[in-house]
Amino acid sequence: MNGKPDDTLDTALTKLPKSIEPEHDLWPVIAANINRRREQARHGWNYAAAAAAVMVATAVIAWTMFGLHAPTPVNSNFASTVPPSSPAPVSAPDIRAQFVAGIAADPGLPAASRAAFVNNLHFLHAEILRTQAAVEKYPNDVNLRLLLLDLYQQESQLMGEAQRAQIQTTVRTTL
Amino acid sequence: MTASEAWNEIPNEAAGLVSRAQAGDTAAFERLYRQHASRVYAMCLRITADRPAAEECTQDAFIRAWEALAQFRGDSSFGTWLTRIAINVALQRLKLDRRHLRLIQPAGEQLLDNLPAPADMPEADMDMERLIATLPAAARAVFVLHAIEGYSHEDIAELTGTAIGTCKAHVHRARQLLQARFKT
Repeated sequence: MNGKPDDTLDTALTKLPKSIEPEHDLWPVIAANINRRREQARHGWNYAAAAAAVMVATAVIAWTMFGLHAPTPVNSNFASTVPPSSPAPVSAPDIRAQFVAGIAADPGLPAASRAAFVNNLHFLHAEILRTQAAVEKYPNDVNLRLLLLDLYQQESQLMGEAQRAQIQTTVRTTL
Repeated sequence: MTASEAWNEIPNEAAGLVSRAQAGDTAAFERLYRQHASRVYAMCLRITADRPAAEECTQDAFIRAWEALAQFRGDSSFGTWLTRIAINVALQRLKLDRRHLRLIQPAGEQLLDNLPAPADMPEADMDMERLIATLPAAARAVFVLHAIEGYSHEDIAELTGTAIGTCKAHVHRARQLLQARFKT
């Protein structure tokens, strides 16, 4: 280290132990922290999923209240998935599918807007499914969870925009 | 000996434990902790020169390692990767402590100069660990990483965010201080 192998300092340094046992077990604190963070992450994911479901449900309720029922399908594959008389939605995927179908079949919206909303919603949904699968595979990856949360937010935001566009066209038509 | 060689890991066993830990198996991660804790703790203790701080740094290093496990690709050994995390934690702690020290004791870095002269200090009490602990914080951290952990000046410069020349100067200064006190 300083070019003098016989140096007593170097000799003393080489004798130093590489390992020193801590005076007490540090694992319990580490384990408690890990468990707490896992719980937080799990709850965070649940909250994100719940928030997304609530937003989708809210969008559908508003959509129904404003009477934006899907009429005859207009040049869209998604419209065929809409049931003739929409029963109360039971799950987030159903709600989402109905919402997208409703957008796709809304004659009040310009065709380009419908296509843009539907395509983007489908793209986001595919990304959400892919990210969900990755989160299940790597449950401790915080970045993946954050990405999933971000995708949920983007989806909710886009649904909100689509809904706003529908409402505006409905109000214009009514007036 | 390089820092990575010092770990003596059993590659397959470590890889298996890491894979299980990456899948969320805390029992596997505890095994990794049992294998590496004393080495991490020794390094943290020498860098911080404070037992409670070293314990906290060790715990923090393992918690951070758990959180970053998904990013571990196995390019280096788990021990080497973990050590890097622990070094960052310990250096961060040192910076915080030094900031606090400056607030209450502006001349904190000169602690060694205020120690009693070697002649006044019983030799039995001045073992090597204690001598290292009396080094100024920055010099001590660099010296521990270089002389005990086996890191190169280039690696230390990268880890500490300082120039290579500064690292060399720290090591040189630490050696001089230690030699002066060790010989007496």
